[in-house]
Amino acid sequence: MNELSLLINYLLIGGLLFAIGLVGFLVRRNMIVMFLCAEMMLQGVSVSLVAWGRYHSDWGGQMLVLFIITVAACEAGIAMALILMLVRRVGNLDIAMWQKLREGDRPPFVDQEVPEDSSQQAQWPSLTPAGAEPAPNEEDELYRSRV
Amino acid sequence: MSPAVVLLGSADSIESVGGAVIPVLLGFLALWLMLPPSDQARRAMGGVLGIVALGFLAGSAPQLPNLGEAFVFWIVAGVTIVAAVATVCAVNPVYSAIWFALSLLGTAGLFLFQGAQFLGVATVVVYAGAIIVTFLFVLMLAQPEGRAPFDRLSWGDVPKVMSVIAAACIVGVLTFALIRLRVDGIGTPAIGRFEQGSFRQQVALTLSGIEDEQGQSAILADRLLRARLREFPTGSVLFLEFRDTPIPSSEGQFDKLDFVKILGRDPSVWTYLPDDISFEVDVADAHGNVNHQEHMAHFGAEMFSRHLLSVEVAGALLLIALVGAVAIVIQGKDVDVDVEGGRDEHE
Repeated sequence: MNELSLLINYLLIGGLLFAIGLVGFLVRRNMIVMFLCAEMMLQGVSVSLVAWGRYHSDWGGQMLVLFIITVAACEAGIAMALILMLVRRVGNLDIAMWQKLREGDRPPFVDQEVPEDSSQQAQWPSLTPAGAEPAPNEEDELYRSRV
Repeated sequence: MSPAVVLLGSADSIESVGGAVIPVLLGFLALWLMLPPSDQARRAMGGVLGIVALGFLAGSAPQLPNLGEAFVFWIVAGVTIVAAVATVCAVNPVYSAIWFALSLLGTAGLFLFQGAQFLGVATVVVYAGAIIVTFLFVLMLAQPEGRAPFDRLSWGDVPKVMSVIAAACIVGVLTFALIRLRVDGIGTPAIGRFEQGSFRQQVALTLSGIEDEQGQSAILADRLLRARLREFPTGSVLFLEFRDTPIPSSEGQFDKLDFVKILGRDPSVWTYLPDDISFEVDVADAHGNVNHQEHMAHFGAEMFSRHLLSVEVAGALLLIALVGAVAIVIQGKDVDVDVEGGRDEHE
């Protein structure tokens, strides 16, 4: 009885992880986040497999999870290489930039509006500048990340 | 291995089914509220609704045997689910990666809870430690500013609704099927239907093969639900779990095992096998006991004996993937010949 309840709980968690990964994969546009959601689907399956393995006292569940981890690692390596190549061509991680790959009879996707980024207007505390201002470095200006 | 049989029970279980499916639907409504694009108020509402739904799900899922186990399991599972939802809903992809690392830690905890210690550690080391770090490096090279307009916007409203409905259907049907699972029909040792070598199968076969005066062993074999061998400092104990209350009898003496206990439906009631039933069971199948010192050693033995070829192929696959990734990246580069180094050599 307790084994079955443990199995059911684990299957619920595995199914939830899989479904959340599924939703994320379909909703997000960032290539990296889409890949993270694919990995989350694999994790959901792994949780279910380990639960079944324990329920039937069979090592096959854990063995398959081991191979899933291996394949996920290979897939991540190659996917990162491919994503870097794609970003080099287009300039950003948006998968909507590759719309030409869609099916022939579907209309193109156009952004309706960009929501206001309210956090950009937050007032950060600042110190009074002291000393001479350093000369602006043009190379740094390109890649400075915003906090 | 045969899959668990889903028995559709009678209509009186609708309340318990509803009690489990409704939190799932509420949870997916909360997920829909939190997905991008959304504003602060919606996300806060979705967050609160999600936590409440998770609490109700924890309450309506089948109870684990003791409170400590249930507490630990739901804490770890709660962390996993909350982190998974945050992965999907975070606008900044770096935050998504970090939340996913937390979700992986939760999954590793779930693996440890099930006695898959190697997998728990492998998840942390390989997944959270290598794959997520690779993602973060690629993010550093590709999108260093973090937020981007396409992250805040995503595909719009229609794909959001459709995907949430699809996922809610998947998990709803799964919950529906699991909660209606009846304990009675699971694990019926119909001899010949399961693989040989299963420990429970072995015990059931042994029990049914015994001829005793009152014909009780055949009945016991028919009702056998679960067989576990646990090792204690004083010896091995075979726990047998039956579907209904077993036949009450007096204590008996056995070979090869110190003593045998039988659990009825109510675990607080213990009885012993009848006097004239005694049997030997192969006790080598100890991997069911996850507290055993050599539990992972058995896993390693299995990995390198039955699955040796698969392990070697997996290693070759890793090598091929490594070479392939490097080949993809090099193809896009211009290879510069270091002419000045050659000139220096001649001088």
